[in-house]
Amino acid sequence: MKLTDRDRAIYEWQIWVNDFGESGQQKLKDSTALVTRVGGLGGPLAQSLAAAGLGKLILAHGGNTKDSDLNRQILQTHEQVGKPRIDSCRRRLMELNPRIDIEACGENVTEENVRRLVSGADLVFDCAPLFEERLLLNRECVRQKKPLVDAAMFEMEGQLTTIIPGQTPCLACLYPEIPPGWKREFPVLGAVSATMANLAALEGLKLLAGFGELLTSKLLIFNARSMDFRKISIAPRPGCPVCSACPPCADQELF
Amino acid sequence: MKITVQFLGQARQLSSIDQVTLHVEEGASVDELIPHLLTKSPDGLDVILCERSEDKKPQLRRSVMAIRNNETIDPSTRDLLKDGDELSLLPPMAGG
Repeated sequence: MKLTDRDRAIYEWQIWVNDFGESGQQKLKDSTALVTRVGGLGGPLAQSLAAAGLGKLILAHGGNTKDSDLNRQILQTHEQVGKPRIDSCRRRLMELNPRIDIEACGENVTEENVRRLVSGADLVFDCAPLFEERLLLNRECVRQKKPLVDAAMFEMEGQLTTIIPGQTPCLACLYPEIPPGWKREFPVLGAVSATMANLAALEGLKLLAGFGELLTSKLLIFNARSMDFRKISIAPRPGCPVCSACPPCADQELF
Repeated sequence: MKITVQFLGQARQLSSIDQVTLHVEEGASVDELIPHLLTKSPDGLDVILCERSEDKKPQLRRSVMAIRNNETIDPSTRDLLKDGDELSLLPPMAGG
């Protein structure tokens, strides 16, 4: 659907961004992104995507809001405690930008729904706390050759990479096993998860609009204690059971 | 050779320290650093950082990234580390 005059007025400040412009805005309007778990990471991420005018967001997150969500899950409210998280996500994003389309799924990623969720998206954001979910999503993105922006945090640190199947290492190259000792609940400041969320949103917006440099085959590491950003090179793991058989994506226009 | 090992993420939290300095034989691999590291760090780090190889030797968990000079390196390969290097160990982190 073509940009309208109202779109041009709403997104004026970002249309002024060099290399983005009206064509970038049009690409966002024509795009669909999947955000899996819309919590401390996925919530602020979805907020930035919605404000930027993505055409459609698919949100997947199960369960009810808890007290312990409220320090970082900024799409949740105190009144929402005990009620489904996904309802608050949809409601607050629609308040922020009623011009976008939102498909809200009140489930986390599972073997049963992952194929359908990924197939509806041009780009996927992995914001889940459990490696079972993260690696499942990664496998499906590689299978469907969908780009995956993978953001993570712990305590006062965060990391981010963009996975393009056939071109970059995949998540299973970095994590060939479910890490022992990893727990779903862990220490983090909400401002750290929101920082990583917005860095991930930037990656996604650049990828969809086709400008700037991406964190492909790079891992950005952020240390909020020292305010250091570090970018390291990462390589495919030889014999990775997920992506080593994935051929280069000659037909893929995205970078 | 002298290697400074920097702990990141969960390893930093568990150890409550940012880094340790090790003196190891020239050409040692990251895996060969691990027994030295365990003698200098709290027990909890063992689970996060180490696994046992088939011959029962402790080695770096394959889900922990070994980073030297802003590049990940293969922990089993010898002669990658040089005297004075800083090696960062980055355990997995996730969303939530």
